[in-house]
Amino acid sequence: MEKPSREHLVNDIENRLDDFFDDSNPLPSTTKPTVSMEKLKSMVLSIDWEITETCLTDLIGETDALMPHYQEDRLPHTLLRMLRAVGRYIRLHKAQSHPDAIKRVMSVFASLEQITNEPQMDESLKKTIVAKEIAAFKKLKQQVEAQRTPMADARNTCDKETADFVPNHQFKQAMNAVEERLNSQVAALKTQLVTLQKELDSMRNR
Amino acid sequence: MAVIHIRNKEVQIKIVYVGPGRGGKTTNLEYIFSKIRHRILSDMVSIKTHGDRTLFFDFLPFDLGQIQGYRIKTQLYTVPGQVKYNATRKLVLKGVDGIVFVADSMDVMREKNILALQNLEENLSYYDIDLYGNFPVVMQYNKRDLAADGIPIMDIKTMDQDLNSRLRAPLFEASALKGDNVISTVKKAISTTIVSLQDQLA
Repeated sequence: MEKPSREHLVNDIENRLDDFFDDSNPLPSTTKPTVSMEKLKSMVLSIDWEITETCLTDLIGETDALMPHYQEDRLPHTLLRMLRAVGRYIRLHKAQSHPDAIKRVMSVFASLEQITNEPQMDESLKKTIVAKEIAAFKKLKQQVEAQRTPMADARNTCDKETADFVPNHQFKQAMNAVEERLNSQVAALKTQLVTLQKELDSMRNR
Repeated sequence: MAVIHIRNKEVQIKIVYVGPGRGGKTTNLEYIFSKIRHRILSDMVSIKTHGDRTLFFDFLPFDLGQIQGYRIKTQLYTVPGQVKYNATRKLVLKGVDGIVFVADSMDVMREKNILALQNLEENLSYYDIDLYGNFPVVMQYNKRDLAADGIPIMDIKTMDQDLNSRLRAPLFEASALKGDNVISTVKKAISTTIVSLQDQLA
């Protein structure tokens, strides 16, 4: 180490320590790389514009990528899990998805953005925001379950009805067989009729 | 003794928190860690027993940044306070550059504070370090907040007489649990240690 004056050294150390331990002016975080929500945001906005398989796959992929970064942070992690679950549901059910599902995607993302962009936010407020999202998510889940039961019943009835019909080509074959049989019987009857007609003519001649 | 890499312009200092068992050494480090965790790459390592007592040591390393062209790497340690773990205490003190003595302000801890300081003196002497020979020490009288809860604590004069009359170390009244003066203590310990190191090298 150089040999500066003791006073100068003490001064430098104190300044450095003040900076290092200063609460009001924190240095950029080095413990975790800063995680950006921008990519997820653009995916959510694109879903708002047009719902496509690609958009939903990208959304699910991005939530998967973000989740490890929030492994220790329960609240954003919960919201990401919710976002992924709704995304998967929409991708699976497409147009048959519950109409509120897209609203959930928007709302969950808005809450996620709010709690991650404002680190100074009070923890209890964050918990309240997440609790509201959980409640709304559960409500949607119940609605989806309720919707699913009548739909399943309708599908079962439809399946039963269609099961009574034989496939088209078999039906044609059967019809041809019936037609052939009828034709042969008609031909036999015609022959018989001709024979009877001849017998009747010969009897009249006698 | 500090590790100094002249070529890399890097200095590594080791500061150990010592004091009687349940005095608040680990709480000090936990508070410091909570304040700096967003700006350090490392984590705090604690090895505890089932009863949440420090079995081996707590370890909190961090890079303080540059001071006069030298990168200062600081390592904070605690030792187990329980009397039976003296071998561990001695081991952790190896290569120590500075001490924070965390004394428990409770009346009932008076004797244990004195015994802990005597034990520190003995253990340092094992490494040819004279506690009373200008070795960098910072004194912290912890748990001052307990008075507000009606728990009898010693007055500063008594603690000074018992612990700091010979040392004349910089002194902080603190509450590690609430964080009062915890950062002031560590700042003083780091600066005293670096200045002492500079004096030794000069």
